[in-house]
Amino acid sequence: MKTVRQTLLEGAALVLIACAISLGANSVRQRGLDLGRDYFKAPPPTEPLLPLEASSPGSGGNDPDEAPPAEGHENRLVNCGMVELTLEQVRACFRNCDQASGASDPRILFVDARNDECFTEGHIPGAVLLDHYYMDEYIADVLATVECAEQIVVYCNGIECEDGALVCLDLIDEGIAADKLFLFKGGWEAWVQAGLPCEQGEP
Amino acid sequence: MTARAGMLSQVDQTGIPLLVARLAVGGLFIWMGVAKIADPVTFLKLMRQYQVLPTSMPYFLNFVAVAVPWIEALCGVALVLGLAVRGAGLIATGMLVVFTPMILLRGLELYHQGGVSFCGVNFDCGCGAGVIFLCHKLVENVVLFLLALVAALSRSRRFCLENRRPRTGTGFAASPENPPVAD
Repeated sequence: MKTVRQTLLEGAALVLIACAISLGANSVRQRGLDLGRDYFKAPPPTEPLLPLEASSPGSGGNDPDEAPPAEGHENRLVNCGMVELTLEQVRACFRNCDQASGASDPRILFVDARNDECFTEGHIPGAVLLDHYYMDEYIADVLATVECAEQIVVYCNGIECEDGALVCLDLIDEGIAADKLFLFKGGWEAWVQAGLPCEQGEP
Repeated sequence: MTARAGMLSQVDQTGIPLLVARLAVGGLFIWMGVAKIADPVTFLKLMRQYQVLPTSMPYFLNFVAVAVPWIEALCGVALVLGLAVRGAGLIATGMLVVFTPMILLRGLELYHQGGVSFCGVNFDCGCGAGVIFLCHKLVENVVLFLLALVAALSRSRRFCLENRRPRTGTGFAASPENPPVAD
């Protein structure tokens, strides 16, 4: 009985110490979580997230335009008045911009909703980074750019990723009109698989 | 039965089973805990995928995403060093008991969605090792569970910083024929 009690005490002490360290470390680290923030303010998907790789060969964008839409995402977008763009629409838009100006069109802005590591490895040319989880680091710069744009196309990794929708909601919260916002559902995976141009570099 | 308990006790007293269990479970817990600590956002998102924590309490989800990796890592450090071994073994066992069924249920969910075999299902379980195959992960967790049990129940304290007279009561050498022996 004494051993059981001591074991439980040891376990409880370890948990308490770990919790104290975790809270301390989280508060001092530059990129800790904001414990008071509701990161997922939108309702969760009504259907489970799509499987990766072998679980679903189609996911990740062999042809994302034909992939079944996630119901939760659809509802969220409809509720916010946002429109989803297919790969073809984004490609046409990008091509038109490119031909018209020889460079990225300042009226159309791509917003990358992935993290800085992914962004540095590669992103849509001319895109700006807006990481939903570290909004404070990026929002001031992004807002200055976004306000000049007539259309804002937001993307993240792929169809199973919801960070793009969350960034759209963030921008709406910041006062950006929902009718300027478009979500590229296929995201980076569809873009790369379609062989479209990529750009590398830090945010 | 008594003979078997006696044999287990003798093996346990060598300290080798405990050492193997401590290094295996502790090492893996440190590795996986540090991976999660390094990227709390990814762990937060993966925790949410399991849909076991109430979405109406986002602060609780955030706290779990911050605290669990540290509990895991500290538990691993305690096991590797040989401090509070029973307590750390108990926590490791508890975490495996909680998380393994969650992984299994999530794997079954994906299995029913996609047209692949059960063992062909792969996904990021939030364990800190990235994308894993379901069967591989389940086998790994069962082995870890057994090793964590050894750490929680062993009476030996050989090769431990917490090197003191073994306790009486429960554990592998609970039989009266095998009284505790000091290292």
